[in-house]
Amino acid sequence: MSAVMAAPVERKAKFDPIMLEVVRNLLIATMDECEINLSRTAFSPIIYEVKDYCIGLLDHEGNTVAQSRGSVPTFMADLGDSVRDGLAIYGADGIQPGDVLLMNYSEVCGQHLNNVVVYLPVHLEGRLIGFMASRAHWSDVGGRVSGSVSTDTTEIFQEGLQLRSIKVYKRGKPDEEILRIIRHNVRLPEASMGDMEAQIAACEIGRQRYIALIQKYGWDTVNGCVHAMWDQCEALMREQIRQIPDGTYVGESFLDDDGVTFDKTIPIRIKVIVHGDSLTVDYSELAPQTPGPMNAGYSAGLSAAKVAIKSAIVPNVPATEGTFRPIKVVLPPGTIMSAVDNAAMSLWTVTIKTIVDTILLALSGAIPDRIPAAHHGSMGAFMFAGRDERGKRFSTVDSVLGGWGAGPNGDGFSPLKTVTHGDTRQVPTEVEETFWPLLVKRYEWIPDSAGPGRFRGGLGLRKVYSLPQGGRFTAAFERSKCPPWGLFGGGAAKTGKVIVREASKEPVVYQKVTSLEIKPGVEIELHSGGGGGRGHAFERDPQRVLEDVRQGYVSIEGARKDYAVAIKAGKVDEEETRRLREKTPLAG
Amino acid sequence: MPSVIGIDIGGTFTDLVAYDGKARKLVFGKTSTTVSPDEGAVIGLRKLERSDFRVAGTDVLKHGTTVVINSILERRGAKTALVTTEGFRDILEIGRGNRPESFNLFFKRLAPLVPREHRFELRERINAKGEVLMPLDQEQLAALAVRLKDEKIEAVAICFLHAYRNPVHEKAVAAYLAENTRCFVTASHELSREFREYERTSTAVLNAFVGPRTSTYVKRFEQGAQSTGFKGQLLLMGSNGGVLTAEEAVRKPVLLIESGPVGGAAGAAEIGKITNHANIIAFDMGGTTAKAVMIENGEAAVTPVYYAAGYNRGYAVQAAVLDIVEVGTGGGSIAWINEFGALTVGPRSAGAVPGPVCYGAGGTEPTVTDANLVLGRLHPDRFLGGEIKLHRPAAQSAIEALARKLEEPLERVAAGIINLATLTMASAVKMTTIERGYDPRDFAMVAYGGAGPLHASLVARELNVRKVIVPRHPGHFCAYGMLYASLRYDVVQTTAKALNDLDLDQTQRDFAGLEDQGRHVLNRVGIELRETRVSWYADMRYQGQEHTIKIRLPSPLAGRAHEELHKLFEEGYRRRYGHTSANVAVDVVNLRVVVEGVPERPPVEQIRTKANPAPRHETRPVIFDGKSATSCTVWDRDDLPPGFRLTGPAIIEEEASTTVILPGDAASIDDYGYIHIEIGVDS
Repeated sequence: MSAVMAAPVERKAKFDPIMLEVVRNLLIATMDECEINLSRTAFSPIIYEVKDYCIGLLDHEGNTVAQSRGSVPTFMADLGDSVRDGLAIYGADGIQPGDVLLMNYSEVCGQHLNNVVVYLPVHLEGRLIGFMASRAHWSDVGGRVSGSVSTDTTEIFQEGLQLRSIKVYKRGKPDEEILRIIRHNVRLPEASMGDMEAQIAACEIGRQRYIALIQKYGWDTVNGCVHAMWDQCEALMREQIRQIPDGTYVGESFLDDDGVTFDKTIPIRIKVIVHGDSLTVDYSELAPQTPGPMNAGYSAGLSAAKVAIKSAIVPNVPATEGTFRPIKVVLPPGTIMSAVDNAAMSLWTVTIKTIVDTILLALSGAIPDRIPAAHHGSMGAFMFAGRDERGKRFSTVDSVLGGWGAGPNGDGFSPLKTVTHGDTRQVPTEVEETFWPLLVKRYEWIPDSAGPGRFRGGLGLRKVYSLPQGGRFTAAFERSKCPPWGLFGGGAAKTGKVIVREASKEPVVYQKVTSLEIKPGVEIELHSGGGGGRGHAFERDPQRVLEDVRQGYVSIEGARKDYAVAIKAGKVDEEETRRLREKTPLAG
Repeated sequence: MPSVIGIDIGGTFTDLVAYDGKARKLVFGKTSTTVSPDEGAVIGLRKLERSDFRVAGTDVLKHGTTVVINSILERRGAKTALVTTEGFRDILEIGRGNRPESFNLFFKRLAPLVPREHRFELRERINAKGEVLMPLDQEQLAALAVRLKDEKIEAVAICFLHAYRNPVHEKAVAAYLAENTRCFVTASHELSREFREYERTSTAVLNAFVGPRTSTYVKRFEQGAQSTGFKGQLLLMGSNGGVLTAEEAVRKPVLLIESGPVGGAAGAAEIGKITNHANIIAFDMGGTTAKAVMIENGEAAVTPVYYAAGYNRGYAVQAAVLDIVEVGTGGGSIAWINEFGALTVGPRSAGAVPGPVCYGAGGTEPTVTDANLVLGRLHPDRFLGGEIKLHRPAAQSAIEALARKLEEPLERVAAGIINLATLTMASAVKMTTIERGYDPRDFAMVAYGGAGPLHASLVARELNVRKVIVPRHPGHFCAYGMLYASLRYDVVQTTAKALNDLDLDQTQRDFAGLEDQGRHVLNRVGIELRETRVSWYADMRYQGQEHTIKIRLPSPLAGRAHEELHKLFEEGYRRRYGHTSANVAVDVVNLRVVVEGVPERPPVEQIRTKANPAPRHETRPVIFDGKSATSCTVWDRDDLPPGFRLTGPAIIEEEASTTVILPGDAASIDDYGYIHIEIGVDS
């Protein structure tokens, strides 16, 4: 089976270019307003700090009209599936003004159950004209572990409560029975209910502003402008694709394991086919879905393709329905990106980073100047839980920062979260130590961790924790066996990992681990990966290598080994460097 | 009444406004900004002397400067080192790891102002409770001092973990380095007593980086002023909306980072008081940008974290900074057609040189000013008091070129440029009001800057603001407003405790301690104060949230119940977000105290009633609807007597600005000569 993301629409309305800009600006401002409200009133740190959310305005069929700008990229333009599920269940007439629906059903949403969509209808004079929807990561939705995310589940039922287009408000009235079901099936009911309220409030503001906009300019004008925007975005996307040489471009990589079986890697092979002004992402050779929770559903497979294509081809064009009309996605059911039959999906977001990286790898054959080498590509999520010195429960969630890949004109940047994170900030050490019984011993660059190259990647980081009261530790690290690759002769970077050090014992290295007991005095050393290099390292200007050595980004040994640059007494030994570089031929 | 001078140094002009306390009159002066800005100030002061103003008899000179922000943006500062806790020297470069440009695969932040080779670690550690886990290594410190000398370091920033809680190690290192090196030394706790190590480190680094240069500038400025006979006290406009002494500015130059626009906000707050508007949007539009500051209950809004060079790629400053919304929309903003074939305005600007097409100085791309001229909103002979003669045909043909590409009539495109510029400005203003939980409808707008009065009524309509006030001399308003700025100290201490765990007697003592710090600085200034105002605030949130809201607390606190404070928080929370959460505990994250010393200030003079109740006027065609011209009455502001009323469409012209009254709006002149525009309801 193959599927088409969106059918091309034969609609080329004559639009008013000035009114169009007015409507576009006002829609963006409305989404921003909703977003500010959500991120400032949410309870879960992962919403307000990690910004693991999105807010969108959809039309009456679930097509994206506008989306907030701070949303995490992975959530781009995939709220429609949730809304369409509600439409299929209730029919357009069955969704009333004042209704609020909850949705995280894995078969439709394709992601872990923490990501709960709240949506409500927008009616104009009694007619359904659209939906306001917001997806946000709740701290807990039940399931077998605290926080609902673990590395070793084997079916979705272990991961929490599934809500399939459930009306929690009916015509403006909360359904107390349903709310009670939710409240008593999640571990942090205040937080989850608080997040839900914040999502509802944000959607309601969007609804009111959209109606006000329509009342000011008229439905026909606003609706006409929206369709004209889609047409513009489509035309622009087609124009960009036409400039890419026709052909089939392949990217291949693999994941370490599925969190349950550790001796089996998961192959990823993705084809990007460019033909004229359309582009196909063909996932049909992906590995089958896994017993462990590395799966994502169909909807997530679509958004991974959208993130990669938008970032590479049209980073500055807004993501609308039209932008993706020229994109076809072939994704048969049963792969790791289109899992079915209640597959576990807890770590879907770990997988998706490598999927995006691999699509970019495929595109590097087509548009080399617009693609960086691979980034650290690991979610690197890490969680601590336990009791503080007063016996109160605590739990934390954060993810690592690492290096990004080198580009055609310069070194890769570091540190950043991953390609599917956006404006997501890491929690400061002083805040961690104030609110939780954690102690951070070091936080610093790892020398020589960047992929070498004419342009090198960004560096990985080392962060060392201890738990003075002891506790438990969960982590999800990836890409240790398929390190962040270089491009066009550039080298791969060092990979991320967790090293647990206990006095008088051999250190233990982990990638994925759930609820590991940590005793006081034990050190947990998190390493993030670097970014890949670009161009052969022996072509790097020795003076730049010297500068990196001076700053401690590259060691003297690393300069010699990776770059064939000899450094003596703070200077480049020109003769020795020439000899080293001649001796070792440039490898491809 | 004391005599006061305000000097605002902008990119093109240096503005001076002086109040003569004996003669009770205002004197204005203007010169071109010089390469070394203090020289222009001296020229300006000499000009004031020639206008019969006695600089020698002046008590206070207030100065807003862009030296600090320019030094950062141009990366021209001291050779700086950073000293941190062992294991944490990379914090400055690591930052928070966010990527505000979500689809940019090549995103890069600005390089740190201190390279890694000049970031040094010392063995020491203090925990979140302020307990010393590891004492400071004195031997290492001694070696560090030698190293700094060897490396010829000029300025050093010190930031240790949890120094906001216990600064003992920072103090020891700062004292040692001050004694044993010739560096400009800054310790993070002197600038911020809040947690978040990256933000505090960055603040200390910026302060050190600009330190030596700013001291030189302030000293030279003071000497320059003294050379013209000035013997009074020099005060600098602080980013928090108040003024600082020269001595403090030299120690904490980073507090001057948004020194420039502060005068306008202070002036707008004063106008709010006079005209009985507690809530004001101060709207300043010039050649390249538009800026807005909210004034809530008479107090300018401040943000606790500011980003120099912008949020996306810039450097954090964890200090109270006036919450300024700035958008790249000014008279010089360029209108162009983007990749979608759509009309777009800014953020590129034609600046002052070559300037808009109508300046005839080489500009070829149409700007907002060109659109205003084509629509008849500006008069070609009366721009900036006739200093620049505008060329209408040139502006028209530049906009015609756009109109041809868009296949739209010229008038529509010109009106569209104004419309889009308005939207950009209004959206930015809307964001700040909404972020603070306010409805813009509850605000009046005070419009100033050369282009402010020209655009204010359009922006106000978009925001549903019902009232616009145009002060006198809107073109010199930033310098004028400085006359009204108070001395202000923002003191803060992170507490990070559950409200119910707070011992309110102890909290009372903590607040009193913070208040004493502020009063202590104030007492040393040596300026006679009319009154001292003190406000206590707490940054509070529901447990589990990150964002806090600032809640004003009653004084004294001792003897009050936790429930009372909880209720105050919930009231503030509901106002901002429209809902509250029952059964969730509340955290108190920071205690904040603002100590404000209000000096004697020039009284705002009423204007004398003119004999002529029917002032001169003329008419000219102006396009308001993007289609056809309406005959519009044009008045000369200097002719309009108090109590005079007029209805839109109308234009009021004066020396450095033009006020547009739209069809459906009405305007009146009050006793102070301010124009009050009532925004019509037909928008």
